Amino acid sequence: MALEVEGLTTEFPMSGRHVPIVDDVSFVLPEGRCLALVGESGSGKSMTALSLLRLVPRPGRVTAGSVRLGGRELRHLSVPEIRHVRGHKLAMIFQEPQTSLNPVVRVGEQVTEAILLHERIGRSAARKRALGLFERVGIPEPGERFDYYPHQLSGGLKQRVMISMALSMRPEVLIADEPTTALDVTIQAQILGLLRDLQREFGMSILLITHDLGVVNQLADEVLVLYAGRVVEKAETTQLLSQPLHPYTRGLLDSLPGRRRPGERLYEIQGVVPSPLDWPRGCRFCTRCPEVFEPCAEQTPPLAAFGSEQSVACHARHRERQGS
Amino acid sequence: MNDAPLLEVTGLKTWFPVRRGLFRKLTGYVRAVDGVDFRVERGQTLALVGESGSGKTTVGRSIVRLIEPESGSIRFAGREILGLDERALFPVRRQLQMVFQDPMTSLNPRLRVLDLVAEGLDSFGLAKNRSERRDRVVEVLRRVKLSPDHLTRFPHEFSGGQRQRLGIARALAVEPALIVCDEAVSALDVSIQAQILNLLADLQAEFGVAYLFITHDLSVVRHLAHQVAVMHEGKIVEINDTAQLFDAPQHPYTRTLLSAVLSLEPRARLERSRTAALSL
Repeated sequence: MALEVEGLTTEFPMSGRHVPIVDDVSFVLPEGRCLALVGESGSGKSMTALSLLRLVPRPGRVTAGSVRLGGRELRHLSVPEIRHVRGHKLAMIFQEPQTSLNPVVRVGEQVTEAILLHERIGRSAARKRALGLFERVGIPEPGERFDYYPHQLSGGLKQRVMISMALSMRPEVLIADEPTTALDVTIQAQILGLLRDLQREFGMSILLITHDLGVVNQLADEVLVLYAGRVVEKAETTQLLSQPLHPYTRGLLDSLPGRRRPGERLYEIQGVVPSPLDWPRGCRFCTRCPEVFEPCAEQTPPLAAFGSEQSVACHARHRERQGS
Repeated sequence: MNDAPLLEVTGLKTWFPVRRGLFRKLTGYVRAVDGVDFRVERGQTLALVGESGSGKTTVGRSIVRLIEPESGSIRFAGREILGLDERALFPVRRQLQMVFQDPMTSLNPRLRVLDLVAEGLDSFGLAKNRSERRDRVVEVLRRVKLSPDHLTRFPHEFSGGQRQRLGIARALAVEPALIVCDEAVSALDVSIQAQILNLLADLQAEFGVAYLFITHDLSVVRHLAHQVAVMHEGKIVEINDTAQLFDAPQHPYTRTLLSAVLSLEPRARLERSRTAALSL
């Protein structure tokens, strides 16, 4: 089931104005694929995910756009309907599993409860299914770990419990918000491998939210780069890593130590991400951009296709193409 | 004295007592650091890498004596500092500074920038009068690329990257020979991380300051360290020059760690057999 998002906009009131923290975001996540939303803090990547699930914290509000799952519009569903969608079709895992698990309930019980909440089956059947999921997500000695409390498990195992809970309803789409950021590198590698296997096995789509392009390279088929609430570039993963077009994407890649020779100076993107109250009128990156010229500050560059697998929202790129 | 390495650590052990029951009876020890040896040369960077629980942070804290080690030797510029009492240690502290991961929790929220950065100058009596104190703070701020306009601001008015610059300014103000950086860039966005890494490199080139750089991030290590020590379960399992360690890792744990680094080369995905082999 494909997830189609069009013109999604989420606003927050700030200093007497309505500021679009997510501004006109569109993408399509085809069935069984992985799409990554990439950006730094404040880019709006997590808020985009919460907007899809209709979990935007007050006083924020989705003010425009459409979110369709398998052709069905989610924005106008009733509360019981969207709850059903959240469990059965769209599931989410978070960066810090310990904050999403109840600390005083045994982990097996929590997964069993989640199954019972969504399905009319007996407790022992739900328990059996939860145990099977523990086994499937690679929790060693699942029978014993079933009765552990969250604090008795390592970060990696807690994330596996969260994944098993998300999978319990066989969702169409798994939204993974920084799923490995809090984990050690060796554990990160295991969890990424697990997600890739599960995606294949369950035919699930993954919406991956991350700041880490290394993680993107492991999992994603396509990437959306967000800056200050807007999509600045959209591309197939290898295309983005080998030939980034937007000055922000190029800057991000060049500032990574892993892409430079040891000791070589890293590229610095000048300045900091501006506060939403100070976002420029035109291109929001224009105050930090090395290629800025006169239309940038005033006009918002449209996201236009460059070839079949890449689009970019940048006046400088658009001008280059017109020039050639 | 100057032929001696800047910092020479031998047989360092830091154990935490485990107490149980009503009478807090001592039942054993957690051997967080269990006999490590390494040295940091003047003006160089030694990276201490490992996963959570490896003991790398405890090593850093033991060296600046935020934690009392159990036994071993810490020689700083040729002088043994482990047995020193707080009074004898005081002048050494000026030479030995620390920068923490989370700049928000390591800066006093009620002090303005001027007083925050001048704290070290005040402790060690390095400024003769108020105007010299202010001048030195302005100079340090300039070095870390913060504006003198910021002198009267409070920490909460700064972004994460700027706060980390403040943390570095505080350490730098007393002209230390060694700065222990504990995950100093881990909480920062990549574009800001690049700014701070470049700044650390500039300061080393200009002032010859040495770093003990504690991190879990191997791409950062490869970028800035002269030497790397890999820690696992309280011990150093491998220590070598950076290029050699990355090109020809000897210890199986080092190999495991390196194989888990995510490449940015298009389509370079971790092999299945590799990730499977990492399972605990």
